[in-house]
Amino acid sequence: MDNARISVRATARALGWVSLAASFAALADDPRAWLERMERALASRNYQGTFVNEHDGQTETLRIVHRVSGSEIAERIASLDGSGREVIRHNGELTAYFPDQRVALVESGPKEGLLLTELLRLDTAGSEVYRLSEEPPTRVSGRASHVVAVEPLDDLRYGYRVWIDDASAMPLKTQLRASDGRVVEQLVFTELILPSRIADSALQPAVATRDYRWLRHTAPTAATESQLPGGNWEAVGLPAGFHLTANSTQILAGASTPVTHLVFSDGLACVSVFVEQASHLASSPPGVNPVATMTSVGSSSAVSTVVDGHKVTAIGEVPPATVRAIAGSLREGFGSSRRSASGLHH
Amino acid sequence: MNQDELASQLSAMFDGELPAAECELLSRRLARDEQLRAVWSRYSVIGAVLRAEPVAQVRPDFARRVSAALAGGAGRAAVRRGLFLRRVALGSAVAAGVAGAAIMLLRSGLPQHEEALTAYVPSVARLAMPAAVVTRPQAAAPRGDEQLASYVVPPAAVGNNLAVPAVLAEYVVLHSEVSSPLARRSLLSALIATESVQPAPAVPFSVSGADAVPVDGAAQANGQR
Repeated sequence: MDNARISVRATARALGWVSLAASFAALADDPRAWLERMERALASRNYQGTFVNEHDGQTETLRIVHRVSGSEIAERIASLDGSGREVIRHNGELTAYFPDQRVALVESGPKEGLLLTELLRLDTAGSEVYRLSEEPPTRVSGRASHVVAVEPLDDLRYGYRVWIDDASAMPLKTQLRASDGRVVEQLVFTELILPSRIADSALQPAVATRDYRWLRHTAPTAATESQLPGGNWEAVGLPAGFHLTANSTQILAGASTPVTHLVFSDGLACVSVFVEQASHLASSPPGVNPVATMTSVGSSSAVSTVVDGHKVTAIGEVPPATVRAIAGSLREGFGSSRRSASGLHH
Repeated sequence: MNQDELASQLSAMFDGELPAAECELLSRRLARDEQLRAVWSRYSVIGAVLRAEPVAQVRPDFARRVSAALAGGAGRAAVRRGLFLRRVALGSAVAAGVAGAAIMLLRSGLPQHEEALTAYVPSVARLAMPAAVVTRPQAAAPRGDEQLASYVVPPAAVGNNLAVPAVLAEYVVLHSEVSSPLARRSLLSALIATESVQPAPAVPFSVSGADAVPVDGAAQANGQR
């Protein structure tokens, strides 16, 4: 009897292990698990390399150095073309150097955690706007890679296809794709190494910054009620899947009045809307569509328009129609409570 | 920096002895300095000949070019000649393309215990660059010196200063901080790579006309504050 009980117990335990192993095996092949590994690799590993960014028929070569030291993360991205612009993030401060304009832009704020530790927001479980799948494995630059596809289910957003290195979980190649499969942007590493140590000198700017004009934006400022751009802002008729995820009010470098920063997301794509007071700019008369200026920054779209006496600028890695729709959804509301004027909150 | 110093630096880069940061700067200079590229080509020719590599298309003046190149190289880079010839004699790999070689040499200054993930792939380098003045903190900085060389880009010509306006650049930076890591890299890359972003012509702004996009009623409530 005891032997039989032991046998049953052993069998159950064995079955449990088999089930657990099967779960792990399934997890190992889960595209979501691969994305999470990639995110962990991006956030926790030292790496440096050269990658080529292709967009709209343009090709740019850039160098990236990423160092993780305890909780401190530093990163430098430098263009190897043109005048040699670069961006350096260190100790929670981001400095963008524009040698062609003799300008250095400094942004600082308590956002290091948000920037460096978050996982890719592929909250696609039950998502009605994206489909997550895994393509057949292949090789990139001789490295075995898993290919994960995040496909948009409509034309309001872009999807991703990521080639993830089997051994290191680093993304060797990334494509931003439109809903029709068109490649909007591609980033491919031509050289990537994972050094155990990266010297401070590798994170220093290569540009000489004498006679530069420095634009410094300090941490998000708690603007006073009188400084707020005015009224409550509400979004009426957002594109499907998007919702407000964060807002803050801050005074930007060189500006005297605060700017409200609203963040809309569909779980993966993200659109920022900046609202600043612009009473000198006339809004369009009722019934007349306001004029908007469209710009693109790489694969991201930006639109600027005037709403209720405020300059509204929306920018995001989505198609132009989507940023236009989001900017156009803003209305100055008349709610009873004022929003928080502190830093970003979710 | 005169041509002799540049040639000396080039020779050091060829020998894999130039610090990575200086390789980066020199590769920029190579891309826009025809004379320097000629020196580089000469070194490549010398290397190919001394390694007895087959030459697919030998030009009639090949022998003269090699002789001249050897003589010119000896005169211009005397300091590095010994190292250079030793390196060539040992048959070190030499990249044929300037960009590919630059990438290879960039890596040569890195620690040896790194994990190489990808093979070297010649990258596409743009040749049209504004003139930059390379300056070095010390004329003959020792190897391993932590001090970086730096460079100054001359002011852009009038009419060529249409890069991303500062306020938009600031918005891009702020937006990058709330974006996903992949999107952030793309944004920051675009910010530093796009030197001629110009605003498109103003267009009528509409969310209910031809550009109408589907809206989600539920999202409206979410979007309200």
